[in-house]
Amino acid sequence: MISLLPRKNRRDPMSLQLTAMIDIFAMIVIFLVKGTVMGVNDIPVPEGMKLPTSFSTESLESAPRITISKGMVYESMFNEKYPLEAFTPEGSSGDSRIAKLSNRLRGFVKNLAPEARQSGVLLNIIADESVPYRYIFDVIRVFRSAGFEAMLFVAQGPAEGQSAPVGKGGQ
Amino acid sequence: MDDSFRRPERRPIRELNIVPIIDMFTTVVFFLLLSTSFIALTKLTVPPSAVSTISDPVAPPPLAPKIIVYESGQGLSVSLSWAGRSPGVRTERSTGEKLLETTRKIAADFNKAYPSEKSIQVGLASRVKYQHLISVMDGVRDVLPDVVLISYQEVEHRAGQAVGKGQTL
Repeated sequence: MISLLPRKNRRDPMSLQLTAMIDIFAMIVIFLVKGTVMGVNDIPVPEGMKLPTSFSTESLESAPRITISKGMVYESMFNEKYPLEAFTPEGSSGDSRIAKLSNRLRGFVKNLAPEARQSGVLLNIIADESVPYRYIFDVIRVFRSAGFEAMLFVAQGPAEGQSAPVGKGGQ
Repeated sequence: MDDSFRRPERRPIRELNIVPIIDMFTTVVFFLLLSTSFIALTKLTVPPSAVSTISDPVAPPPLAPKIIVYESGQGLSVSLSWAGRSPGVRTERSTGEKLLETTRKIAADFNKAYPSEKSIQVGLASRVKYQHLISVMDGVRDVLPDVVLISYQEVEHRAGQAVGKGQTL
């Protein structure tokens, strides 16, 4: 029997192309994994060093560090160490190593990526609580003149049960 | 039948498979997004300013508060000095354990008198311990968050002046 009515072409239902979707999903996952920066803020503290105690609630920041320990200054930028006395005004005048270090630090700061400068050029300071202030200041002065803008003093939190003393306001 | 009335052959319509095209388009877009760095370009045209050497007579001189800690007898002396219209000095005796409390009290009183001042210079004498620096910074941080360190030479010079004037308790 011949049908007089034109037969409508049946369209095949559109099938879902899962292969391409899985492809895109894999691409997205790979890009996200590649773009994610997982950094662990780990500050190595030399054995025997007692960090000062602070009641500050600020957390550690990832930044280059200098460690003042046992008469030496260890810097993490070039993994070198220098005697603490070389940073004093009397010591640095006769020691060209500090001048060379300053120049290298200026180059280091200059070559920092823009992302590393967003909060300013940071420097972590790790020192024992009993180090005299003059040594802290002399070392910081050299690094500050080289371009480091903000000094982050690494300290430990108060002991358990110890609360911050409340200062009484004057009348 | 005659071939002249033969129906011309229809080419099969090839459907465009757009799925791989969308796939590549998405991949290219992701590449561009990840490799693009967005830089904001701004331009500010400032008209030339007239040269003037007259300072603003209305603006008060800066306070420039300084807090120094030096050894005094068996303990420590904490001295806060400031300039401005009504310069002053306040000195308190303290110990290492009470340094945080003493500093916090001094800073709070200063903040009550000058609430708009947010920066302070901090200095210690050469032999004062690093822990005391942290304690002083903890004490002033709440009301004076911008801390600038000053040299121990300046501290010892000021401490000597203070001792000479009998300001040390």
